[in-house]
Amino acid sequence: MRLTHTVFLASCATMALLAMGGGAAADTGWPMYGGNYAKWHYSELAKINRDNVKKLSFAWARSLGNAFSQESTPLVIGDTLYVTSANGPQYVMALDAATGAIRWKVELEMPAGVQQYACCGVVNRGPAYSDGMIYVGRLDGALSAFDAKTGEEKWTVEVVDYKQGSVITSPPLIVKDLVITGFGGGEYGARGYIVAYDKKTGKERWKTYTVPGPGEPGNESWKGDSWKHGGGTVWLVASYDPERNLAYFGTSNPAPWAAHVRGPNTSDFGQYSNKWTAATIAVNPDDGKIVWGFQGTPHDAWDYDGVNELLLVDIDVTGDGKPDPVGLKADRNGFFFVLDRVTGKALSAQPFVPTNWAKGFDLATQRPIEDPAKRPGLKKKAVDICPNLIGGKNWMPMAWSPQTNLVYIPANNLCMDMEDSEVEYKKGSFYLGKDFPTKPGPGGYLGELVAWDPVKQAKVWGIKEKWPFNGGVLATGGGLVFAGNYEGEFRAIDAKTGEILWKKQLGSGIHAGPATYEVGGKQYVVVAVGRSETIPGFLGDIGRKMIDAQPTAGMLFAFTLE
Amino acid sequence: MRRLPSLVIAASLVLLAARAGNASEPFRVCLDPDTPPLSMVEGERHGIYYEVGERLAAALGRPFQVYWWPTDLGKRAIRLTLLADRCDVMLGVPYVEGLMGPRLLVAGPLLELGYVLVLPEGVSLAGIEELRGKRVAVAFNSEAQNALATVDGIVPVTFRQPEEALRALVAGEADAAFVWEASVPWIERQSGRRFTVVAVDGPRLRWQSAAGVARANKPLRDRLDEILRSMHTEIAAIARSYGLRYDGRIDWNWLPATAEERGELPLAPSPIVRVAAEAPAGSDAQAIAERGRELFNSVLGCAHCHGPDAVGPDKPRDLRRMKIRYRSGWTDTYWETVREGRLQTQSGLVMPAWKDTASQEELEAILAWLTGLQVSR
Repeated sequence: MRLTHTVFLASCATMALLAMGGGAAADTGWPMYGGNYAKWHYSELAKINRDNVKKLSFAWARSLGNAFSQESTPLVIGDTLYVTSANGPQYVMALDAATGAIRWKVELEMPAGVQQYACCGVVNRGPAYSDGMIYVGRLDGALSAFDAKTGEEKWTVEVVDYKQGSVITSPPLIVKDLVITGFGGGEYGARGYIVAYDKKTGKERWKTYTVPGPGEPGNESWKGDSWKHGGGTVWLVASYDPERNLAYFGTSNPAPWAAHVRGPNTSDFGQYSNKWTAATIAVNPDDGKIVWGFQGTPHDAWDYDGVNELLLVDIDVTGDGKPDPVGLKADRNGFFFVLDRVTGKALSAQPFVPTNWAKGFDLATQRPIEDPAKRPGLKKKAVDICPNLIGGKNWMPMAWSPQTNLVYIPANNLCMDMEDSEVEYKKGSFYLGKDFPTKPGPGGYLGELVAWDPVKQAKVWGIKEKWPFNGGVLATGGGLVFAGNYEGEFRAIDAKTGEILWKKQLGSGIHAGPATYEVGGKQYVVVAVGRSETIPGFLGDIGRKMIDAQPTAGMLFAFTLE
Repeated sequence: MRRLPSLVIAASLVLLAARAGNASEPFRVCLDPDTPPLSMVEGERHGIYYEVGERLAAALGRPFQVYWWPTDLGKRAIRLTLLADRCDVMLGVPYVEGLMGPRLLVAGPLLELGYVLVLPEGVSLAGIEELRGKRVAVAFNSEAQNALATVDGIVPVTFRQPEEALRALVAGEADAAFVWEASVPWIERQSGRRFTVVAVDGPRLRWQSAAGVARANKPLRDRLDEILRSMHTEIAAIARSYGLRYDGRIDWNWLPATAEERGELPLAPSPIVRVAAEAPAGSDAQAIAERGRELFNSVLGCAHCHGPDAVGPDKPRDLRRMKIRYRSGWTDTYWETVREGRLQTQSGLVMPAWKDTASQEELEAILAWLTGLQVSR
């Protein structure tokens, strides 16, 4: 094992260079969401480390201008930090990364009432950067490009009609000369697609539906014409493997929730897997063609949205002493998947949270081994299903440390009751008809920061949390892991042992993933603060307690060693 | 009671149609202003429930009076109107005991409503089997879609809205449409065509509506039960005059049906607890509007930003222009904005959220007053 790790470290270094996709800022900055194309949420920076992190102190703060859920992770290019706020974004700001002083700030004009079309919060997860331009996905279904020096708007395109309940909340993926985005709205009966635009002009270059139409492979996985409103929207961040020229996108749950409309009312659903929903798809970014798809939850009946990011690493999972190109996915459905990222086949899959809807994942058939009693359906209520619909992990990013070879997962421990719901669609209105009672998962905790060994598929350590929906994770070369929790405590943790080495109360729930960078010889760690005001609304009594426990906020905090 | 598809949108929210006449207490009826053909504030005729309400008033020997209030808030609408003593009866609640706990009593049944199969004129349908191989238009996420999905061999053609499903039938892109029946008169008017309408019996596909009465009014409920029993033929005639009709009827037992799901639960006598009406608020529209004006100008301080009498300093803040700006959805915008506030406004100022500051009754009064102020250009 030790030997494998050594070999593996070398390959990681190569990988990191490849994955950065060029750019001199890469080693000291934070050039894109996730830090690199592989979505490691990792930086080599080690000025702040295990030995000195106790002295980490406040550097500066910046108001984000509103108190909605703050989910933005800033970018740092050179000595400029770019951040978005919630609600549109309301603001796109360029700050002096050393002082927090404003260099420019743009207030976006959103149509009045756009908020009602965002099912799950008026959030924004941050900007994207490439060649002197900043790109921002917007709640009103548009994508805008700004001059990174001045904030001048260069172009805006309409990606999707937001009035159909489709909003954009995540930064686009930028590959070569293309900027690629999807949108949300699986709850409203959209048919998901991703679109690529010329990054200079905003001219559309290709568009690919995640749900295949008639005549396309996979259309036979839908009953009747249910593919037309089949969901499978792409609303979170994508990763990219430059060596293989493949971009990886997660797709949302299928629609409608009533699974019998899309296929059989049973676990024995045969061909009706509803491709490519609740899945990861690999796409050739040059032409938008889907190269492969992997469904963690075929013929979903639980709202196990499959958007969670695919984290790309080269590790030896086959035991032949050579690193394998894999993708790691902590799926909402509770399984930690190790995928061959060339073929899309699962190499291993184990639950990383209490999970009972499936007894396992059959590698031979590449399908979950469902417990039929836990599949809700037409006239069939299923009780005590774990995890619940917000999933073993939600959108909050996990991190990878090549120092420990561990993945750090912000996990949830919730269960639910569910049955087919009596629902009717009204354009743009979110109406679920029935409650899906949320129950605490086993063990007396609702969330956990889990350090996970993806080769052994086993937990190494964990920090249990009182609430679910805790913050995304950052790992650093200083042997540290940074993550906030729902109670507003921001922590530096020993990546090897899980020992909390430093903590600060930041005033409201933390969901966003932190970032780190070096400017003027100093390393900084930044994190956005502001608890979700919508997600607890899905969680019944637990949610009400969550709302009572924390006020909302909208702040960006930076820390450094004085 | 399902919310009907939004066909024509009427905006007036509170409007009194008082009938002059005898000195006895008016019979106050709560009706939705925008559920054609059941009840609608606009147009020459005001809908089936309106006309049933007139006849009920006549049978009771009391003058008929309408309190218009949208029902799309579901149970909340019942709470804000009937249970707040704004009316004596609400027509169109589901004929189910226990919808609002013991607070709501129902008299009925009033009308039977449900999903229907709409076919070209002259085409008959004896059973589901005859639909096999046919293209049937349905609305996404509707009970019709759920039911259709349980039968093999029918080709579903799915649309987001029931209106689109009916348009597909008109355009010949579907052989039948499986939709909520209240949409049918609309498409017949729009297309100038007549269709064959087949009622579909099955769980979750049909409901009976009722006259809802607050529990304190049990004697009225009992009296209405009696009157309605003798009015079935008359009510059916009114419904037909609005274009609701069945040219046939088939069974669709797509679920093992229980009586409850069919809406046929024999109503068990509910325990009667006599209590005072919850909020004996004034129900006079004029008085409500006047109170709204006072709240707006002097009490809540709305006039600080929006100007006295809602004559705003600029167009975005001029609340007499809400109907121009937000058209048919203006009252929705009103509720959303006053409740939740608005951080981003054209004036650059922040609209506070009033949901915890002002009471529901106060906000309703302001809306009642604003309704009368709307300008058309």
